[in-house]
Parts: sequence; structure tokens; C-alpha cells
Amino acid sequence: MASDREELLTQLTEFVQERLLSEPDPQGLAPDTPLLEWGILTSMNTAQLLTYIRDELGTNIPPTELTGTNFQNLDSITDLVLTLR
Amino acid sequence: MSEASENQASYDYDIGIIGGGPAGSTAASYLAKEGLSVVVFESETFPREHVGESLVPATTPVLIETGAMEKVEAAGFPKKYGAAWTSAEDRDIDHMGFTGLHHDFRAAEVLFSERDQAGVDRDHTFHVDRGKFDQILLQHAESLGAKVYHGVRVNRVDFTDRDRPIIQAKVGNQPVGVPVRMVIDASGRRTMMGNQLKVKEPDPVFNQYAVHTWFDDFDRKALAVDKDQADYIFIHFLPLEDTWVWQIPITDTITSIGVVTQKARFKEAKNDLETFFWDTIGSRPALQDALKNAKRVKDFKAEGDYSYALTKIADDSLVMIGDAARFVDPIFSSGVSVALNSARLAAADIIAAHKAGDFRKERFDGYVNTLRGAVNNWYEFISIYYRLNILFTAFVQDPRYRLDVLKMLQGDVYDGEPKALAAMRDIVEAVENDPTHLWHKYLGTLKAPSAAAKF
Repeated sequence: MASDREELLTQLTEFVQERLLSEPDPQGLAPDTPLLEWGILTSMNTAQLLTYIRDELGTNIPPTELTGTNFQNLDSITDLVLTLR
Repeated sequence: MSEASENQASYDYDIGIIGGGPAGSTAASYLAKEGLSVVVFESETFPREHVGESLVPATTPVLIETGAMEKVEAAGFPKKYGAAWTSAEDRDIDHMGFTGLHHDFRAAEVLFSERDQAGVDRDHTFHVDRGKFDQILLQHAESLGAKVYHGVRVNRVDFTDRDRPIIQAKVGNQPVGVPVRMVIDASGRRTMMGNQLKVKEPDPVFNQYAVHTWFDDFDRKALAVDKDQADYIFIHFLPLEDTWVWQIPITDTITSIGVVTQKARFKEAKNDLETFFWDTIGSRPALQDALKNAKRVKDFKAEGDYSYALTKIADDSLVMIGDAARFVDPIFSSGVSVALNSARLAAADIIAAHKAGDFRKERFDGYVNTLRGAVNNWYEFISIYYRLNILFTAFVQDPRYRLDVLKMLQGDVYDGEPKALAAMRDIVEAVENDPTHLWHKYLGTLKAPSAAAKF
């Protein structure tokens, strides 16, 4: 199970790193980087992320789950996707 | 039977209809087809201009049933295959080279034929010049035997004898009284009987105004995401609160453009329609550019006192239909569809009432209840659209809800609550109650506390 989680976290990290960041963060994107606080998850980026999770990872995130707690950082997003799988 | 034949002598017509718009003419067609004697009083002389030019597929079964469809098809109106919504941010998305626009929440489009709809046998409905369309329907009613008077304005109905209402009108300067067995008020936004009976109430939430006109040679593709959809109706949201623009093809080259906004913004413009129109359009530069390159071919016209409800839409020997019964924000092109379908529902009850020789209020419960259910669904759907616009586009793109939302967009709202509506309600509640919800900041200012119909 742990490896599933790690793989998912890696996939999400790579997507955010490569597709949503305008320039790669030199310090890298950590699982606890506050995505909302740092302004990484803009509305447009969030829509892109949801599309990625739905189309590539096969998980539909219901709109009721789009909360600040669930989208705080990559860790929390990973947990959310796992519970919805 | 003896009573019915006795009565026949004392009425000029079985049914008197106030107003010859789509609601009145459609009711006249249904009733005349069944052999009832029908008179229609239209205050204007057709053809006359009218706003509300885009239809939805729920009009199709009605036009087929009354037999008017062939004439409408033959008129060559632009066919309407679908609808599209754009938001103020679409250009930014284009510039950033995003490819997955269909999966973004800033634009949405539907093709009507994606969902089968009972009684609908074709993949399109129409955008219409209402001058021509309304005339076709009224002439059709006449061809079925309805007696139509143009330029006769009804002032009131005398209900002293509930079994023999007298329609009071003016022909030239001459007042006339026409006794009938029953009255249908299809007087449109004038709500003649609503005013006479003092049962009209302004909508507490949707206090919108519209300013509209026609343009020639407007580039309909200017804001279209998919250029093949240029002949859809387009709803363009503006980056101004609760303000949007309709774009409706009228002919190959003429396009109807209307701005709908809150009354407060409109009042600031002090009735200078032209300045107001261009100032508002200026908030979407791409739209402004395309319109500046087109030629305006009509004066600007305003529609005020926008949405309202009636606390009563039926009484002994009386029903109200179409806009005379209810007017909700027209964002989903519901006007003509409600006119035709309310006429269809009311006509069925009236035909039964006529057979029974009993025109008491209870006879029209079927019509009233069905329309109430439809209006409730429709009103809540519109409320949610304004309250949380992003939810509408998200649902259109969500395979679990797309067809259910499309059902509402088709105008197919007369058979109970669509399941998408309950889901939307739950989500709006979750977003309202959680300030950290990612959509919380997108909540609009229009909040409908209760979606209940008044009648």
C-alpha cells in the first residue's frame, strides 16, 4: 500500500511541477509545500489538476471535496485521491 | 347537453384569448382543432417586433402537435443545434496555449441531439425573428378556425358572472363587450389579468434589465471556442457582477445582441441605452471589437421590471399562460418554450372542462401543478447558475450529470425534479458553508432564499 501512495504522490508532484509551475522551484516541490498559500493552485491550475486526476488517474473528485483542507498540499491531495479510489 | 346548448346561445365564443403571441396562438390552435369556438384579441397588428428569439427543443413536440411545424420549417429560420457559454477569461486561456478547454470550467457547450427527448424528432430547434415566427403561429391558429382580431386591445374582463365572463375591449373608439365561456390570459409581460386581479409580484432576487438590438455582419465566430458552433446561441459572461450578453443568429448576417444586467447598474446609466450598452460591452474587448466592426440595424430597446411571479394562475373560467403567468430570467431561452408548453397543458385541461361543461378552478389543477413543478425546477436551476456559475460548467462537463443538465437546457422540465438539481443544491450548500472551499470566492451575489413558485 505504501508504494501505491508513493507512486501516486510522485505522479501528482510531477504533474504540478511540470505543468502548473511557470518556472521550476529550485528547492523542489515538497509534499507539504502549501499549494494554496503560495498561490500555486490558482483556479485555472486547479481545473487542470482535476482534469489530470480524472483523465489520467481515473478518479473523479466531487465538487463537495474541493476544500482548503483537501487541497492544502500534495500530501493531502494524495490522501484525498486514495480515499476516493 | 341541454344546458350546454342553452349556454351556447349566450356566449359569442367558447374561449376568449387575450393576446396573439406564441402562448395565445398555440392555445387557440389546440382548442380550435378540438372544435371549440375560439376568439383571439391581439392589441398590435402583426408582424410586430418582440424580444425572446431563441427556442429550445421542448417547443418541437408542441409545434408538431398543433401542425405549425411545417410552416415554421418552411420559413427558413436559422437552425439551432446547441448552446455555448463563454466566460470573460477565455482569451487568457487561449493565450496560454491550453489545449483542454473542454475540460476547463470557463467554457461549456452542448449539442441538443446528445440526449433523446420524448416527442422530439429532429436535431435542431430555431433562432427566430419573432415578428415572422409569431405571425406564422397566429395565422396557423386562424387556419384552424380561430377568429383573430388585430389591433383590438382588451382592457379588462368582467367576471361578475363567473360562468359568463365578458371581455371588454376597444375597437377604434367603440367599447365592446364579448361574452365567452372562459378566458385565457396570454397578454405576455403586460400580465393583464395579473394586474386586474392584483396577483402579480416582482421577483425579490432577479431584478434584471435587458438592453438589446440587432447587428448586421457581426462575426459570430469572434468569441466561439469551436468555430463550427458559430450558429449556436452564445451566452457571454462579462467580468461585471451578474451581467451577461446573448448572441442569437437571426438571419445569415443579422445577429441579435442583448445585455442583461442588474437594475442598479442600468439606473446609473440614466436611461442612456447606447452609452450603457457600449460601456458594458467594453468589459469584453474581443466582443466589443467584433461589434464595432458590425453595423447596428435597429434602435436599442430596453426591457425592465424583469422577473415576476403571480400568486394565482387559474380561477373559475380563467387561466393565465406564458409570460402572463410567470417570467423568469431568460438565460436558458425558456420564454417561447414556456409559452408553448403552458398553452399545451392548459389546453388539455380546457378541452376536458369543455367536455364536462364545468369550468371551475379545480378543472385546471393539472395545469397549475405541472407548471408549478416546472417553474420550481427551472427557477432553482437559474438561481444556482447565477449563484455558482463554475458549478454549471463543471456539471455540463461531468459525464454523470451532463445529460441531466442538458435535459433542463432542452426545456424538458415538466416531469419532476431532475437529479442533477439535488446534487447541485448540495454542492452550493457545501461551498457556502466552507470558506476554505476552493469555489467559495466564486459565489455570486444573487442568492435566491426560496425557489418556491408563488402560485
